[in-house]
Amino acid sequence: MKKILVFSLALILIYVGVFFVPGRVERLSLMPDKITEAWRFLTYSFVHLDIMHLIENIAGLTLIALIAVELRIALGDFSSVYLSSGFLSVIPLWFMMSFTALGASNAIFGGFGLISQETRKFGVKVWIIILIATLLIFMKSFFAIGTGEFSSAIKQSLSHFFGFMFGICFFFLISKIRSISMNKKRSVLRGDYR
Amino acid sequence: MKKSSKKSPTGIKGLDKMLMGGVVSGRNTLVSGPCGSGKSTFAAHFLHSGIKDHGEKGMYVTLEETKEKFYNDMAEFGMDLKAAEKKGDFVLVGGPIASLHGYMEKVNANVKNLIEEIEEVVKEKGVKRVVIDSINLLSMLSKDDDENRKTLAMIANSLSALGCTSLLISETKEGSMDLSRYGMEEFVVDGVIVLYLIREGSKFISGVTVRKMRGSNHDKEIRYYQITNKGIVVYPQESVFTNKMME
Repeated sequence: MKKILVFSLALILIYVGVFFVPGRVERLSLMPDKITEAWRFLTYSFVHLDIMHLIENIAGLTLIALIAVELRIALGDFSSVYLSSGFLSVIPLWFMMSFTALGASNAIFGGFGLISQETRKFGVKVWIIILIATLLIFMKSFFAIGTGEFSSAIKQSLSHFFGFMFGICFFFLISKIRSISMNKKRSVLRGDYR
Repeated sequence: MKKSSKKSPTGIKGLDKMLMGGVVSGRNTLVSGPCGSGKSTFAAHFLHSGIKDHGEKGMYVTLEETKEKFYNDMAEFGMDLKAAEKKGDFVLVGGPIASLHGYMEKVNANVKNLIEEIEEVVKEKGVKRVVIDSINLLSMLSKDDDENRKTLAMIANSLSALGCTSLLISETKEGSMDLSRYGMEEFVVDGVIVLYLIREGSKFISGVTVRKMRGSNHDKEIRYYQITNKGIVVYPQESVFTNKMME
């Protein structure tokens, strides 16, 4: 079985397992008034609010995993982008806007960010994918304008957008580091090793 | 009428006669021989002739010596490869294996990275003739025999795919009649030229033979050669015949 699928299956099992932890939201999600409980920065992305939230994110994870397999994305890239997006991408927004953060959505959107960069393998223009993804992310907020749901919707959209952009930037960073490292290796025979 | 394969002359007249024009272009040839038999000089002839007579850029991948030493040694035979490098017709990469190995560990590189780098240089510079000196030393960079075999096959395939005519130098044990050090190199390549140094009393008799050349007919005798101040001179009319070879 493809390694990315094994990785994704393991994550799904963790999400399902955490779902059955009593008081999971109160104990594990990232809450503004519980900032001193540092473990929440690691646990919040594994917690889901309700069954629909869990199913949506399992579906999202499955989707990006399957696309990643098609695009022949390396497990190292996929897992590092996914996990870092899940842990880190919401932090700046959370500090600014002060809300309860939970769920794997940011990790999933980080995965979409990675995928958007790799679609060039199929000759697809990356900026088109980014534009479409951004429109889709903010569509919920757009339709919530003028309703009582707008505040919650815009926070969610911004959070997902941060996840998406974090995925793009993080993948760009690890690619650059790899490229510099590979260039060094490529210059072994021509390198100054004396 | 059979179409003959395109040939790349080695620059050694007598040997090119034995090869009916040269080694087959775009293919790999193993050049094996014991220490001091003139393998590196052979390689220099091949590259120098390519540059001077055929407009084909050359690359020498060394795992043995420094650039300066190689240039100085070959200049003794009238082959100015330093000047060719300045013109951009020749490139020398690599160096002593110990230094190379240390650097590879430092940057966490492996043999596959070296092959990729060779490919890169070939493409960048438009190289047509490549020499790897030697594949024995390259095998020291492999983890085990299996990796060694794969490395050799990878290099051979990669250079052929790039359209290069290449010589892979292999050192054999002195006095040995083996075609190669590990006994498997000759199966991976398209041609095999063997240099012999046979001890006869107080002297060494040097002989060269073409053991294999796919896609081409060739002289099957062991012919006498010398390393003179003009480099290697092969006498295609003179066979080498010693008591050692009767054993």
